[in-house]
Amino acid sequence: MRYEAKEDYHSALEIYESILEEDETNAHVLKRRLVCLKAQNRINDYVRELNEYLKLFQADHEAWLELCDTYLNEMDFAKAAFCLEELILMYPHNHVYQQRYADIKYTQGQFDLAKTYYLYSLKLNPNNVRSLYGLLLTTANLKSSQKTKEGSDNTKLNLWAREQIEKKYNDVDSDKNLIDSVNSLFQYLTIGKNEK
Amino acid sequence: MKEISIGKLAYSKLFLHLAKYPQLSCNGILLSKPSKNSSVKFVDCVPLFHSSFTLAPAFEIALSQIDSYCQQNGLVISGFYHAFDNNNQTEPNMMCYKLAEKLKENGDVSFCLIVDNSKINPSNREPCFNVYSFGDDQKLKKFPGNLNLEEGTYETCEKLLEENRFSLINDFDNHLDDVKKDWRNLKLNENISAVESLSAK
Repeated sequence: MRYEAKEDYHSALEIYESILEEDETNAHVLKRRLVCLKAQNRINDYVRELNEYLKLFQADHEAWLELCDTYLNEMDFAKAAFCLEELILMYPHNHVYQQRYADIKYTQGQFDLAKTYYLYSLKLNPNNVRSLYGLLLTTANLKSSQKTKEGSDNTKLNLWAREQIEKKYNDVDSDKNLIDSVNSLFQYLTIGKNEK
Repeated sequence: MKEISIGKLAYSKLFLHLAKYPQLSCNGILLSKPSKNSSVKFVDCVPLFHSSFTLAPAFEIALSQIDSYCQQNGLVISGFYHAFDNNNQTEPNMMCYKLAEKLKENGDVSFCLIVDNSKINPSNREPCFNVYSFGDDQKLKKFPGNLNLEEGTYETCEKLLEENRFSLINDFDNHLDDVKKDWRNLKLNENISAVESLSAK
């Protein structure tokens, strides 16, 4: 690790390789080796090695999160979504993973799926502000006709999300300008005939 | 040839944002007053995120609210800054490029400030970032014009660091986690002005 701090990655990697020859499944050393790659910005190697690591240690949720973040930085949303799917399977009651998965689906343009996952996340934690905003955005983007049941459901959800967010800002006594900013956002995102 | 200058407030907030999250990438939006001539002065900045930069929903909400804040205060969004977590990365990547493009679509000017991590030392007396803008070939290139900083900027940053003020800055990520935290950092703006007057010689 001292070599790592001095950025002498070659020497550091040699030492790690020798330790791994004796014990192939030393998780700590495997991780240090991964970090060397990341520090040198060798992203392709890093991703490949991290995938190999996860084949050995499938329950390491931090590693899955790290892989997800790396894929997001490379804008590979499909693979990032896969990582989060693994995490959701492991921790189905974690509202953060549901909400982040919904964020990725939204970024990919799959608003239906995003809406579903925002709703799961809000069922688990109705105070998740990102999910509330996400719900507002997805219902506004799902431009279905008002007359269908789905359309009217979207409108109701949109309105509900808006009320929850307004309540949050009022609860913390935000000043007028901030509330105005939020309201102008609502005007842009409200659907239905009664736009304020 | 355009000239860019950056005010004390904008630079200090950028600096504090980086100081608060030294192990993560950070980014934020730069605001300036609209000007008819070809110079741009960044007067304020809004720190945005320190994680998950490529996700659309939070970004859309943030830009929408910042737009409205700009209208209330007569400012325009004129650029953004990004600091990579990797020490050696100093060129804009795909994400920076897309963001710069998006900002340019909605406004005339779009500058991309990439922080050079080797220059963030508080005793440094040159700007800690490189400025990129779109050239004629639609690629991000280093900005050839002049970059001016307001006098006393570096001293203010040093003082703020000494007094550990970086814990006071709130970015949009903090705001989304806890609505009480004001991404406009109005209280911090006052603090910075107070420090400015103390360090004025």
